[in-house]
Amino acid sequence: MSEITRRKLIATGLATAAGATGVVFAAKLAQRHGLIAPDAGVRYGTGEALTYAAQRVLGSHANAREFSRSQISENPFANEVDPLGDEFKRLQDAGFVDWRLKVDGMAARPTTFSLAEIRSFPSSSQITMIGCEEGWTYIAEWTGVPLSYILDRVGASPHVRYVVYRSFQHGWWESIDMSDALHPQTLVATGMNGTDLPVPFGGPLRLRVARQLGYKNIKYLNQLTLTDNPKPFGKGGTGGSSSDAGYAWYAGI
Amino acid sequence: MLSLECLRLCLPSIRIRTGAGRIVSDPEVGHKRACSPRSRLLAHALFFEVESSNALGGPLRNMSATLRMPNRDAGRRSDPKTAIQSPEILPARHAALVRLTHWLTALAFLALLVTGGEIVLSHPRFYWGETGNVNTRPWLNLHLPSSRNTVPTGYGYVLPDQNGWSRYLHFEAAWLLVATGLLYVIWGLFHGHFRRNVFPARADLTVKKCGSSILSHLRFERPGPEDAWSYNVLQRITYLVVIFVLFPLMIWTGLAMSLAFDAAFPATVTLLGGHQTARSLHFVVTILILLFMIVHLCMVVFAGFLTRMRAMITGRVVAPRECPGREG
Repeated sequence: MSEITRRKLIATGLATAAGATGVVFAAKLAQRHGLIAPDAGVRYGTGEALTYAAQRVLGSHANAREFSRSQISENPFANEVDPLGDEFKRLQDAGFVDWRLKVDGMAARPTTFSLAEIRSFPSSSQITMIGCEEGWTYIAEWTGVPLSYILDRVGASPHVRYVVYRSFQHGWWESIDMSDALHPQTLVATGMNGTDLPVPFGGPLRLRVARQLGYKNIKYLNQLTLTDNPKPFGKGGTGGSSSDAGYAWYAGI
Repeated sequence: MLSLECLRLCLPSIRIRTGAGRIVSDPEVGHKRACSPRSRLLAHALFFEVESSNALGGPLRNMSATLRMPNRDAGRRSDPKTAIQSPEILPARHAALVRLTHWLTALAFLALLVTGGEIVLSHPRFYWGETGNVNTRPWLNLHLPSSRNTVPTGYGYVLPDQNGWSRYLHFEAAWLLVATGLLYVIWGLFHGHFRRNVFPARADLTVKKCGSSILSHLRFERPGPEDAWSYNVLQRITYLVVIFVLFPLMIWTGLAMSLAFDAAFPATVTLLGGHQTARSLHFVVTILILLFMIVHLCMVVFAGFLTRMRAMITGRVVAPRECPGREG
């Protein structure tokens, strides 16, 4: 063991002070650039905060991997959801002509779109992977309207920092930051593998967030709310029903 | 060689208590009070505690100590010849940073193991390639009960879902592991830790030497006194594989399962052969590290739990100075 000298003590003190200043500075910088995940304060949230900030710094504009047509899964798997109820059944029997997507919040022209209107918008297709936090994956071709197109159409305010999105199924909602909301692969998906989006996979509308896990890809999408803070939505204050239930808000990992 | 009595006469400042087969010296006191170079040398010779009950050759052998100074650049195990250059206090068996990073790694690994096990329970099946799910044939089915009712397990019950906190803690512990690993590897490279303590000496990498080391392990021979101060060739190869192959593979395969990380760095997953391959390898490497950990713990107990634990906690070693001291 080496002896503690005054020089060492001063050096250690200076290094500690520099480190602490660095941490405070990094936190302020992260706050300014919106790199603090809404659930960063929960238990074990430090890891989540680091992951989110690191992935945003490293690849905010990166595209999720796309696959060839031959890699599309023959038997994709859809996790079961709770029964959707009579109202959904009625809409489904009518071919979802009465399905509506309500867009509100910080927008110049809050609008409610019908399914037919959404299908008439310029669409885009991608062959990407869905990964579930349980560990399984499948690859499918997804077709839909880029979320950024819809945000443009309703005149999203420049102060919007998160898009909160809700499912027809009561209490099922999530939020994403603008890095994902404006990402070209983020779709309001209407089709899968060349057909209308099947109900088990979220039809008629599903928000497809290609760089995040399945639970951020909400099925039966019927509302988008543009906001600068997703925490007041829901009871847990973490920006989503999954994160309120103890799952990480950011699911890029 | 110096007899204990001689030491007692030359160095009255060192307190030597002789108990039931146990001699304990107090090197701190000895070092601080003894001022002549000769007495400082003697203090070094006593910088250990001797346990005659240990399989070290009996009490007689313990009564004598070889005066040999540690040499920071003494290097490899096969070269025990060291010269007395300048008397300085004996380095700890393990450097403070090695001890700190060892326990941080142990803590992170334990957290990763428990939470990783919880996460696997939500889908205890493994596949090769990019995709795999309930509709796909697994190469490995653990036949464990699952925390999800969507997985056909053959069990009539579903375990409680623990994935939320498990995933949070898994990634937090992963950050701790990566930060600790980086600190350890960078420090180790700068301080010659790997060169001196982990890389095997070329002379030890012969079939004969490795073979005899394997045989002595298979015969369950207790580690000799030199093993308290230096890793043997099998240990060195094992640690090399764990530090530079298994843990990097663990981190790589873990990152390869991140959809957003793969978006930024697609080669992370394509080089491995796909998302599910990465997940399978992540599991296989876990088993390998777990096996290492079990053998590691068994060897610690076998070699002397208290002495080895003390060496990794305080840095002190309980063994005669048969071999050159090593840092780290």
